Amino acid sequence: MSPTLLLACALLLPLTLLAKPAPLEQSVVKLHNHAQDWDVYSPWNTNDVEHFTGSGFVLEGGRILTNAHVVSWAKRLELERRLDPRRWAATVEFVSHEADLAVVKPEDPAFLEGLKPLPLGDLPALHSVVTTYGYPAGGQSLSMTKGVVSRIEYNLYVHPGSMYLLSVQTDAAINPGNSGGPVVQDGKVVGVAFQGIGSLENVGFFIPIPVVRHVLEDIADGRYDGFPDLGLRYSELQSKAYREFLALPPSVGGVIVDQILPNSPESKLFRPGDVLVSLGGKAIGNDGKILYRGHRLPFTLVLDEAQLGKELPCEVWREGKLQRFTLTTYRDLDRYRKYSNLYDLQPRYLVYAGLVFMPLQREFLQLFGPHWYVGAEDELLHHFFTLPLLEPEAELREPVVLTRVLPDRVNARLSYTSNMIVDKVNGRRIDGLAELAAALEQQVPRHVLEYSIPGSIDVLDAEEARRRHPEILTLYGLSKDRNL
Amino acid sequence: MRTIPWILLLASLSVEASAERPLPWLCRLTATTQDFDDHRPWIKADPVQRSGAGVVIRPGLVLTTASLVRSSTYIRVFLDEVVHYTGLLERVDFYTDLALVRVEDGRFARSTSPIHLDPALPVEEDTLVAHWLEGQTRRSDRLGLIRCEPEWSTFGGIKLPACQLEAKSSGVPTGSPVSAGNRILGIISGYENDALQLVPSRLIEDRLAEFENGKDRGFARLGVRYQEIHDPTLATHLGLPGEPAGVLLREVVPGTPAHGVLLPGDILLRAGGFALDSSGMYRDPVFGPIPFGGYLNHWNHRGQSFKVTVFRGGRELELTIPWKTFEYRQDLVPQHALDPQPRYAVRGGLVFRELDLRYLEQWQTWWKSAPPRLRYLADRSAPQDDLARKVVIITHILPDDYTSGYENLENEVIAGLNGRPVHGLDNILTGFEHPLGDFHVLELETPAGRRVVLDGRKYAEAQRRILDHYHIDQPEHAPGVDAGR
Repeated sequence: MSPTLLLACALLLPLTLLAKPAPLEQSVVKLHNHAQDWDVYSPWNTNDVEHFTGSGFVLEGGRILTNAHVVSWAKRLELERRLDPRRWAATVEFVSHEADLAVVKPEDPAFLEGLKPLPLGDLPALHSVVTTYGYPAGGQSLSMTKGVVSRIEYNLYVHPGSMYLLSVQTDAAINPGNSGGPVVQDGKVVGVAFQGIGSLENVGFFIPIPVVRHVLEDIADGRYDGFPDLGLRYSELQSKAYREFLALPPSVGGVIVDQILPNSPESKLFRPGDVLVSLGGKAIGNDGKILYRGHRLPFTLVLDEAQLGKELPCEVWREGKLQRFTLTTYRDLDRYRKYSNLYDLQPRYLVYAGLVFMPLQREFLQLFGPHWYVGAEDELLHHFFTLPLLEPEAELREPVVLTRVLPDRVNARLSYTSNMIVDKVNGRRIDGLAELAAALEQQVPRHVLEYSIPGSIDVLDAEEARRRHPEILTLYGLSKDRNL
Repeated sequence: MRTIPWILLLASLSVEASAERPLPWLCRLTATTQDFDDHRPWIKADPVQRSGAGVVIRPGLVLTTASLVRSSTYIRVFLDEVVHYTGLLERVDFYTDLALVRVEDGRFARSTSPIHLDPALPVEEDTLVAHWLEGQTRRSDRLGLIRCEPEWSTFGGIKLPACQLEAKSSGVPTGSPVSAGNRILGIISGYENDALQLVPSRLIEDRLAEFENGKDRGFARLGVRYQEIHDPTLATHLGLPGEPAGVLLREVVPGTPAHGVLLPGDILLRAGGFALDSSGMYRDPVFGPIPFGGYLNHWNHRGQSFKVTVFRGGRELELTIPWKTFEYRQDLVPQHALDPQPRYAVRGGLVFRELDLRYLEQWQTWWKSAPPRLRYLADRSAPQDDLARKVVIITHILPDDYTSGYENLENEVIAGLNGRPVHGLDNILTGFEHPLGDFHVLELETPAGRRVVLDGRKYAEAQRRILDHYHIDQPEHAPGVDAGR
């Protein structure tokens, strides 16, 4: 660096520090999360505490909005203001893991002194310029990067892993640490930075205002309810022949219902073969999309914008005529937990006489590595993915897996010691972890475990199992034998 | 130009003059092989070259491995000179991974001396040496015996007697003979699980005799899935008196010799008079302690029925398992297809194919990367009485107006066509001849209820157009089930 340039920097730095920051920039804060999650393989143990940082911004009501993944598993959460070395303790008030958003409150209201809430804007226009604010890794000071809105579309939200919601793509750099920072246009927040794609350069994504507003409206009553589910499996109807086969008039669009999930409100309204023509007053195209503010986006966006319990009009083409229903939105939390990444919850498990059981959930299957959805054992994937597609009622069951065995003389000679789905215990069908726990409490001389692979069986001496159970817990350092 | 005839003559003289070479039965084979393209089975994939070893076992007849010369278009057989002889594929035996290559040029027979195979199995004291040619150089590597026992064969699903040998490197080529002193004990078929696989001479001799006398006894798959009984608590629960012994039969696979004789829940205590321990091993007079699953294909019993003792309903029963030859084509999802071209059909831009292991092997480490549903079906496959019964999938779609809306379909199992169930490619061929009114309606397996609908009125025209557009000269390969044995 030349001496002249060094001098210029030396002069500029104090000037920058002395300059009064613009209110918008001052309202962008840094979050420190000292997080501790659970060891899914040994679900009675926690993992090491980790420290990571993210960004957030001040909302009306003295709250900070950030990403759920910035605050997940927080043991201690701290806030930091711009150009201020102090750290302020904070608590998570609400979290939406589905939308990767969280509302945080500083424990001391003094943190908010001089910070103005940022106003919320709307969905930005394509090709318009936005500025991302945040504290990305690699530096201490606030970063501002400009970019253009390049796409508005449905995208997988990586944090829950199972949710597709509206998202906006920009070429403004969004790096680790930026997460939770505001994306601003004309002085208003138009989104919350949240994820990038490792394989693509200069591509970042932010959560747009309609999703943010959904969460803020949801928590207005002091409780987070979540996003509605669709209790249907459907196919698009872009095939002209398929539409003719169904005798659909050219003016009628929509998707065909292939399967209806049991216990959903849809199961009382729909039949397989129905064509869902409109939802919430929005006409559904044969590509399964609706017109939404000048974009063609999946019709499930109508559900994403509705709160739970809302009544949505829908039109169905059935038996050659249009029929009208009202669909009340609902959420299937069990199904969400089965297929999604879980946070802030200890994994569910049961240990009995050294046998470790867990529900067959994504949380467990991810132990098979990043490509678990093809790399896990065939029998597990069959029960997880295929069976519910073959028989929708299977969706109501919770398969339980013998994940491993903590060896002891009572179990050392079992035939099966890992990744077996428990079908029956003592002749009783097992459709959940609680049922398994109850079955193993039966007063019987022997516990007979039958697995899903036909004919496979193991037998435990019930008396010896009961006797060894507490000793095994002590031996392997388990303070609790279950989290059901 | 004038010098060329002299060079050829010299080469020829050199071959004639080398009858006294060391290891005069050893040769090198280079096979140009060409498989069908598994994604577009109407065309052949690029030819590839494979190299390996062979041994002369009869005048002009070279023994090598099926894996080396399968799907070959041209085979070169080398002695230790630059010039080669043309080899003609005489026999391929996918069950034992053996192949016979005929060299008709009389000079080859005169330059070589057939080998004598020694039927003895390698024993620990033997100094085992593998031989092969690397270019024109003879290579000999010392090997160590790991064990000999019935093992899964190279090509799918039956247990055959084999030996595992330890090698310093994995570079011993397929087809290399293994000797102990002047005795030839077998040939190397491949390298698996950190060990070289040896096809023992006794098995080779048996097969050669069957090929020559035309009486192929074939091989069998017993057809039981079992679990070991190590746990006394399990043994007590099963009512088994004394120390745990035998194995608990979990499943008896339909279409196998065990079906109709053994039952799930039986405890198999003895096979062929030999007691099974709780791991399912018995002490074989030839191999020592080995898993009972290979009993059927042991050269001492192959082709014969055998007696088993089971514990059923609190007492021991003696039963007879009949001999029943297993053929790959019986499997619902064949683990190996003898026909080099997959059974497929292109109809209306949809590419249908019968699922087999070869299709799954397109995915590297297919057992953890191929579509899980297809893997599951392959794993649960069982022999079928109806040889035409197979799993049919849509591998992919050829984009066209006719298939518009279905472009993303791939690797979907077909459940039905035009109101009838699909249990094999023949159902697809006949199904398209019987539309449902004006439409062809395909039912996909998952999710149950999902359909693909095509316009039956435009089908013939679309079929012609798509075949022409995608340069498909052969819209199907669906020979009768008896073809390609």
